[in-house]
Amino acid sequence: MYSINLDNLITEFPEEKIAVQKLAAFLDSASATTKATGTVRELTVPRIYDLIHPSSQRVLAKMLSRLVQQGIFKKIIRVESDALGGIGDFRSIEEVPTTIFDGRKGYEVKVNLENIRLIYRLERNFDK
Amino acid sequence: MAEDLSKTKLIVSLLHQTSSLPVVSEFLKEKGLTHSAGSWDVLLNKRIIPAISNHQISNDDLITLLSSAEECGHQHIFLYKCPKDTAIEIMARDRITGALKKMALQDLLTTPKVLEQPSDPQIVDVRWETAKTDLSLTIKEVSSRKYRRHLDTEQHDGKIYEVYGIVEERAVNVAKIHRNGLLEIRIASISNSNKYDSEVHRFRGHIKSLIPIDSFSELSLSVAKDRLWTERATLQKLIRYSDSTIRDEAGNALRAVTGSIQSDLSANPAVGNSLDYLLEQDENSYCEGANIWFNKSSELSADIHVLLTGDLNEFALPANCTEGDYNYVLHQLRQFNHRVS
Repeated sequence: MYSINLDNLITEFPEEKIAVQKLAAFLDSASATTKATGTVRELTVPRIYDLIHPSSQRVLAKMLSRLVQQGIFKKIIRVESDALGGIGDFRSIEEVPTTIFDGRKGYEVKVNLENIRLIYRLERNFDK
Repeated sequence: MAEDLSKTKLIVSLLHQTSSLPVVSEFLKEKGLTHSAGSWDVLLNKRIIPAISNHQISNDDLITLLSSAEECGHQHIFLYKCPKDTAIEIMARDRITGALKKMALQDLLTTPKVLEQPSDPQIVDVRWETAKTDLSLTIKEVSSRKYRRHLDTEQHDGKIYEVYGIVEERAVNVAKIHRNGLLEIRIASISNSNKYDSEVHRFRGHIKSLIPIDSFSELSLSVAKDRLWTERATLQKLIRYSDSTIRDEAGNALRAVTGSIQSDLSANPAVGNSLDYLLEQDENSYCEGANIWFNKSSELSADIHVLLTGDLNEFALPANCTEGDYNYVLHQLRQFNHRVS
C-alpha cells in the first residue's frame, strides 16, 4: 500500500493500473526525499513516461491533468535561456510574454517556441 | 512504349534536391551506362535522357533511386511500437487495399506519384517490402511547407522593422510499419524550428485510415541515450560525442560540449567525467539529450550526425543519407535501447 491514494486514477484509467501503481511508488519515494532533503522534483513529460511506462503520452497527459487538479503536481510553462536553465515560469502559454529579461545572460531576449518547456513540479505537501 | 520525358526531368530535378551527382552517377555505372557528368545539366541531357530513350533505364528505375534518396535523412524520426499481431493486421494487403479504395488512391499500389510541391499534402506511394512474407509497409506523403526567412532590418519613422520572406519548400514524410510492431514516423526537417508536435499530429491524421496511430505507444529512446553515454569509452570507434546533457529530477542540468563540432568529448576525459559524477551520485539523474556522430566504417558511407534530443521517442538525422546509413543508425539505436543488467 502506498501513502498516496490514486484509486481515482485507476477507476478512470483501468488499463493503466500498473502505470498508476508505479506512479504511486514514485510519489512515495519522492515524498520521502523531499522531507529528508528539501529537494523538490521537477519532471518533464518524457521523464514521467520513462518512470511509469503508461500506454501512450496522450493517456499520460490526461492522467497528469487529473493530478494537477488533485494538487499533486503543479503545471509550469517554463521559458528557458539559450544558455540553459529557466528564466521565467508561467501558469499558461497565454501568459508567456513575447520578450523576457534573460537573467542568465543579462539582457532582454525574444521568446521562441523552441525555448519553452512543460514542467510538472511536485507540490511540497502533496501527500497531506 | 516511349517513356514520358517530362516526368524524367521532374524526377531528376527532385534528385538534384535530395541527392548528389556521385550517387546518381554511381546508379548509372551500376547499370553499365556512361556515367561521368560534371553538372546536373550534363547528367540529365547527355546521360539520363539518352539512356531513357534507348530503354536502358526507365522512369521506374529513377523513381526507385529517388525513393531511396528522399526517404532517408534530413528528418526527425519518431518511433512507436505495437504488438506484432496488431502490426500484421494493420499492414495486411486486403485492409490497406480497401482503405486506399475508399480514398480513391488504389492506383498508388502499382504507380507511385511523383510530385514536386502539391498545394495540399498528398500520399504518393504505398508499398510493401516483402521476402517470404510482408516485412514492412511504407507510406510516403509529399507536402509543401512555408517558413519565414529573415531578409533585412529596416528603420524608419522611429521604428525598427524586421523583414521576413516567405519560403516554400517541399517536404517528404514517411511512415513505415514493420511486421515486428515497430512504426517509424519520419518527418522532413523543418528549416527553422525544433518543434515537430503539430507536424507529427497532422501527418498521423492524414494516414490514420491506413495506420491507426491509437494502436501504438511511444518507443522511448532513454535507455539508448543512457547507454551510449555511459559506455562511450568502449564505443570510441563507433561514435563520437559533440555534446551531452545530464539532468536530475530537481531540474538541474549539466551539459558538456566540444569547442568545435568536429571534436570528440571523449578526447578530454575530465569533461565527460564531470557528467559521470552527477550520474553516479544521483540515481535520479539521466541523459536528457546528446549530439553524436556514428563514425564512417565498412557499414557507413560517411560520418552520420544524429541528434538525440527532442521528444522521448525522437531522433534526427540532419543531413540526407543513404538508405543503408539510415538503417544502420536505426539498428544501432534499437540495439542500445535494450537495458543490460
